[in-house]
Amino acid sequence: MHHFYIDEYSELKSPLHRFDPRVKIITFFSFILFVIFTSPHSYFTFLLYGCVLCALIGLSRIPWRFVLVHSLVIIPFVLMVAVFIPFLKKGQIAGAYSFGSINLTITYDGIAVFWNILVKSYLSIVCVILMMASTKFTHFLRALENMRIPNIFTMILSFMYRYVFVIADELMEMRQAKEARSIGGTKWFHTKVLANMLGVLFIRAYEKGESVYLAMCARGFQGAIKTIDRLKISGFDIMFSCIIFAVLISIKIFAG
Amino acid sequence: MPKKIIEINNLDYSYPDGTKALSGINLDVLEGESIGIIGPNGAGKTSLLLHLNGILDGKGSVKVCGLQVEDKNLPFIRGKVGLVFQDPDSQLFMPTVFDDVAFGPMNMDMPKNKVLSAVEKALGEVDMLKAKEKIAHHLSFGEKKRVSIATVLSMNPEILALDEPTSNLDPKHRKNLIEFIKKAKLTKIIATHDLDLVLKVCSRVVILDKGNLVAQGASCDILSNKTLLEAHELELPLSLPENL
Repeated sequence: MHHFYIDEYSELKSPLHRFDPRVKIITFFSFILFVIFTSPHSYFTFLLYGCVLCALIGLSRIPWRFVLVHSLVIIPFVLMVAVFIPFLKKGQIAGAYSFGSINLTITYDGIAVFWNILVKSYLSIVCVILMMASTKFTHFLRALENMRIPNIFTMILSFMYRYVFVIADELMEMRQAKEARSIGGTKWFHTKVLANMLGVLFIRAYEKGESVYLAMCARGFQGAIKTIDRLKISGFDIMFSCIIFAVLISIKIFAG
Repeated sequence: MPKKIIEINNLDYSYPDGTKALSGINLDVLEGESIGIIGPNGAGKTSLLLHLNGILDGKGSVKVCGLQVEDKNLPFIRGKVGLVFQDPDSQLFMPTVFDDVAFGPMNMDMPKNKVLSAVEKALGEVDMLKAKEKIAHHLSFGEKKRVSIATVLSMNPEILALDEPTSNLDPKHRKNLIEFIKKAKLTKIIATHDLDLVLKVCSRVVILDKGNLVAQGASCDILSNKTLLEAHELELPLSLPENL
C-alpha cells in the first residue's frame, strides 16, 4: 500500500543526510532559537537566515516543491492565532475600516507582531521540515533515545510510526468494503455508517494493541524497550555543525 | 530416549467471558520432535500455544525444559520458547527489522556484540539479511513472516512455536517457509489448518476440538484417517500419497 512518508526523501545522499541525527537535532534546534531571538525589525537578518536555509535545502537535494508545500501547513495555524493581533494591539493607527457599526483599526505595532510571528514560525517550520525530511525516522527516534528523552515518548512515537499505516490500511479496506455494497442511501445514513466504521476501527486498533503487547511479552518484554545504540559522531558531523554555527553567529553579530 | 521438553498436565483455560478454551489437556513433547496441532477454528490451538511461554495462565500444570511455567521462571522460559504469532503486524512492532530482531536478545540482557551477531545469524537463516534496516511496513507479507521467525531465532530458543505459519502466503513463499521449518533443528510445535504442511514437517499430530484433545498419533496415521478428520471439520491433505 502506498502511503505518504514523513521521511520519503531520507534515502537521498547529501552532507545533510550524512549528518548524525543527534548533532542535527541540536544544530537545527539552535537555528530555531537564533531565529526566535531576532528582533522583528531585522528584516535583513531574516533574509540571511532564509538564504542559509535555502542553501541547506539545495545541499540536501530534497525537492524545493516538497519543502514549499509542506511548509504551507503552518500558515493556517499562524493565521488562526495571529490574524486578529493587528486589530487588537494598541498603538499608532495604520488604517481604519468601518463595517456598519463595527469599526476596525490596524496598528503598526500590531502588524509588526503579526509579521514577527509569521516570519519566525515559517523559518522554524522550514528548519523542522529540512531536519525531518533528511533523517530516517528510525534514526531520529534513536537520536531522541540517545539524548535521554523519556522512553515513554520515544515508544509512543515509534509505535505510532509503525502502526499508523497499518490502521490507515484497515480504514481504507473498510471503506472499500463499504463502497462495494453502497447503493443509494441518504447522506444521514452514510454519516451513521462512517461513525460505525470509526467505532470498529477503534476496537480493531485496541485489539491490535493487545496482541502487540502479548507478542512483546512473549519475547521477554519487562516494561522498558532496550535498543542498541548504533550511532557514531564523526569529524564530519562536528565540522558541519561548526560551519552552521559559525554562519549563524556571524549573522547575529553583523546583521543583528 | 529423548527427554521431555514440554509436559502439559490437565490444563484448563477459560476466557474472561467464561468461554471454555481448553479442558483437560495432557500432552508431552519430546526434544527435537515436530508436532502439528490441528483442529477447526476456535478449537483452542492458539490458546494452547500461548500457554507455552506464560502469556496465558490456565489451571493445571505446564512445564518447559523441566521448569514450571510461572512468573519467576518466565524470563528463562521465554528465552527457550520462540513463539511466533499469526499476524506479522503484531509480531513486528519495532521501527526497523534490525530493532525487531534485536528486541528479544536485548531483553535477555545479551552483551552488545552478541546481540549484533545473533541478529545477523537469525536474519541470515531466514534469508532476510538485506532487509536489516528496512521498516516492517515496507516488507511483503512473505518477508514479514520470515522476519517474524527471525525475531525469535535470535533468542536462540529450543522450542519454536508457530501459529499458522503459512496462512496468507503465496505458493512460492509457502514452499520456502516449509523448507526452512524442515531444516530448523529445534523442537517445533505448529498450530495450523494447513494439513499439507503438517504432513511434510511434523512427525506427530494432535487434534484439538472445542478445547479438548481428541486424538494424537503419528502424522501419517492421523492425516490419512478420513473419518476422524471429517468428524472434526478437517479434511484429508491434498498431498497425501494415494497408498497411505
